Order: sequence, then C-alpha cells, then structure tokens
Amino acid sequence: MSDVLLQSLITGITIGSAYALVGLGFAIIFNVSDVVNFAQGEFVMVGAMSAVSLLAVGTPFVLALFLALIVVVCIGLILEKFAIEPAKSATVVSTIIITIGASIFLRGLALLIWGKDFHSLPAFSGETPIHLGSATITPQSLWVMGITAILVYLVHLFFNRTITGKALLACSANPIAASLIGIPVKRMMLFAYGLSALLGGAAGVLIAPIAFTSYDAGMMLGLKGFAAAILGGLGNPMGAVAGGVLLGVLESLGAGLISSGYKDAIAFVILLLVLFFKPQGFFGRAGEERV
Amino acid sequence: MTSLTEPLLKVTSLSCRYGKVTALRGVDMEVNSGELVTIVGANGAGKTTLLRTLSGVLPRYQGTVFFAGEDITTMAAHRRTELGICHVPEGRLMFAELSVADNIMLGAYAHRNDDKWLKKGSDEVYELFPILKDKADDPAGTLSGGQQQMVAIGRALMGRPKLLLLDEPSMGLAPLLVADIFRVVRKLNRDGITCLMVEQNAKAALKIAQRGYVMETGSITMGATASELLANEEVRKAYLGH
Repeated sequence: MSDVLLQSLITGITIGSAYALVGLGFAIIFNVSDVVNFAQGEFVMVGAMSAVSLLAVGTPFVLALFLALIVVVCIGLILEKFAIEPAKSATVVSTIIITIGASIFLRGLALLIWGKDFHSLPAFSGETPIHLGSATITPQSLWVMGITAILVYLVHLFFNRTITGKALLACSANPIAASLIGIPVKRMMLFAYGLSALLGGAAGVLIAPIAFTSYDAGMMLGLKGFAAAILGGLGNPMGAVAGGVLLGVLESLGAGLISSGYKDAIAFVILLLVLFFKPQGFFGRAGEERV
Repeated sequence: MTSLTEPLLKVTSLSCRYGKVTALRGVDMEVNSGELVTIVGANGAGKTTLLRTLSGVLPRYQGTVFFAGEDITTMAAHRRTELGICHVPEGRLMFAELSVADNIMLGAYAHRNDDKWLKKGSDEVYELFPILKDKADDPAGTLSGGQQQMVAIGRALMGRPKLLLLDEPSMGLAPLLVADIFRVVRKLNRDGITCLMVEQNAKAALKIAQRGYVMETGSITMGATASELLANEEVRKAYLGH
C-alpha cells in the first residue's frame, strides 16, 4: 500500500508541477488585468510541439528547447498586441471570450501544422529510473520538479523584490494610478502575457517527454492549470503553484487508489467543490480595503 | 531667454469630451514656475478632467498643452511623468494590497534605476510624514484617509515633480487633517515645487495660493490673484459660503 502512495506522490508532484506552471501563468495575467486567459493551455501545447518540430529538423536538443520557448513567448506577445490590446475598452468578460477564441484559433492552427498525431520529446537525460525504496522516479521527473521550483522561485523574487514586478502588481491594483506615476500600463500588459507564455511553454517542454502531446493537449492542461489557480485563489501566484501540486497529487492518488479512469474527473470534482464551498480559494485574500 | 517670461505650464483652448459630452470647453490657463495656483469650482465643473488631461491619462479633443516650452499635447502619460509632471489623484488611488513602502517606492518608477534617489527620496517622504515610517510595511489599503493622502503625496514626490498636480487633497478628511495637508502643500511650494491644486474647499485653497481660477461647467470663468478672488463678491457668494 505505502509504495502505491509513494509512487502516486512522485507522479502527482511531477504532473502537478506542470499544472503549477500553467496555474502561475493564469494568476499573473489575472493579477494584471482581471482576465482569465483561456489560451494558457495552448502555450503549453505550442511549446511542446515546437520543440518536437525543431528537433525533427535537426536542431541541437538544448537549442530546440530554447527556440521553442521563444516561439511561445512570441505567440503570447502577438496575442496581447493584436487581440487583447485592440479590445482595450472591452469588458473583462468580452476579453475572456477573446482568449477563448484565441485558444480555438491556436488549436486549429496546430492541427493544420502538426496534424492529429501524438508526439513526444526524448527525456532530457536518459530514461534509467532511480529507485527510492520500493518506488521509482525517472530522471525527467527530477528535471520537471527542479526546473519548476527554480522558475517559481524566480517569479516569486520578481514580484517581491524588483520594482518592475511591483509595478506589474500596481497596474492590477489601480491602472489609473499606475499610469499617473509613470508606469507604462500597456507595455506591462504585454510583459505579463510574455511571461505567462514563457511559463506555459516551459511546462510544455518539461512534460513532453512524459506525457504525449498533440494539437489539442492544451485544452486539458489549460483546464487543470485553471483548476490549480482557482484552488490556490485566483490572483495569488504562489497559491496557484500550491494548488497545482496539490491537484496533481490528489489526481494521481485517486488514479492509484481508485481507478485511473477517474483521473480527470477528480480534478474537476475538486474544482467544483472549491467553487461551491470556498470560491476565494485556499490562499485567496479576503479582499479587505478601505475606500 | 524664454524660460524667464514663458510660463512652466501653458494651456490653450483645451477641450475634452467623454463620447458626446463635452467636459472641458476651451480652457486657457497658465502656471508660472514657482507658483501655487488653485482651481476652485463646484462638483462636476471639470476640474478633475482638466488635471487628468494634463497628466495624459485622458485624451484631449482640441487645444494645446505646453510644459517648460515643450509641446506635450499628445504625449503619453508615462513620458509626462518623466518630464516631472506628477499627480496626486482624487480619491488617493492607493495600490491597496501593496505596502506603504512599496506605494511610495513605486512613485519613483520613472527614476527606478537611480538607487541614490530611491533612498534619498523616501527618506525625505518619511521626514515629511513621520507616521508613515511606522506603517511602512502595512498594506496601504488599511490606512486611514489622512494617512492615505500622505502616501499619495509622498508617492508623487518620489517622481521628482517640477509641477505637482493635486486633485482635491482635502476631500473626506477631518478638519484638523485638512489643515495639516494644506500646510504640507504650502511647504512643498516654498521649497520650490510649482503646484496646481484643484479644491472644493475654496477658502482654504485660496488662502495658501498666489493665484486662482474659477471653473464652471467646463470653462474657466475667472482668473485673478488669490486675494482678489477672496475679496470678489461673486466668488464669496458661490464658493466661500458668505
């Protein structure tokens, strides 16, 4: 029994890391603009698929990963510049619908470029599993957890220690006051989309060696990342990370202990329960402010 | 030498519209270097619109704005801050969830790479408002109205203003605090910062200002020295309550 638990925990933290990165992307854009960017999952898919294609044309491995991230960041910037920014007077709900449209568009584009086949990347450093007592952990899992931890830490430092990070938070707290003190709000929005895309793309290339990817892989990952962000309290970046890992672990425990057929259902049952009973999430702030 | 004769801020026939509603119609006004000028007028006269147009967060419809001899009519808001136009907004507009220290520090966004100024500027702000030092780590949204006003002024000072725009700094404050805030504004002006202040509290504003304008339904209807306005019969009736 305990090896099932340990094994589920390892698998759960690995996949949960990907959810955490996606959730973090949701939280950053939500923080800056109150918009839930439903194209977030497509960033993950584009990251993985671009890396696969770049490798296929003979690009060296590390360079391929790096270029794939650049492709995703460009897509994030293009999305903001040409779909979100022109609709600046639109309400939050309309903007969210624009992101849903963008996600359908990106999925369609991916179908045209890559077809319906499943793809995967080779593992970063071999496939030989490492034994931990009765459970095993693949080297790729360690890459996923390690790089996720580093990225999360950097994002945390960015928001808490740098004036640019705080300026991003200021744009969300009060866009008018932000422009009055000289923060270029438009450029900050662009930056937020670029950063979120980068995190999504990183999640994509990290898990591509573990989970198969296809043109529509972004939808499920996006929804799981959204569930992670909700679980942690939308707009709380570190809450989204905790939510992602928690979701991954619960999902994988459920799959190990009950049935793997319920894996996806578990995520959405949790999402519904949170929305019913604790809509502000587990780490959401109570939003107290004086006017 | 133009700077001796030319005003720091020169506004010529400035108009502004919200959709079809005209909020400013042909405003002409100027502020000379070193002055403290106030604009008085009733609620909805267009005072806030005027300041926001000067800051660049609202687009103008017609007219021109010159600052220190430069045409800034269509310049983006953040570029104007870099030139030294700093704005203390109506309602204070705190970054409620960020700490007081962060709110103040962010005021120096245009000078974010100047570490010396970040230190010196915030020291000056805490010297001006010692109470903020104790509250530095509190979320700005939890402060009282008066303290938030201090943060808003401190935040604007961090932008190294050549022209400080103050929008209703006394709004919603207890009388004792109102006096404090006006004292601070006068001190800043004496220290050499040119100020343009919009106020509903016309009497108190005219007492510390050198010149004033009266604004009604989007137009400037009168412009004179503060003492002339204080003595003017119409102004007394309409804005000074006697």
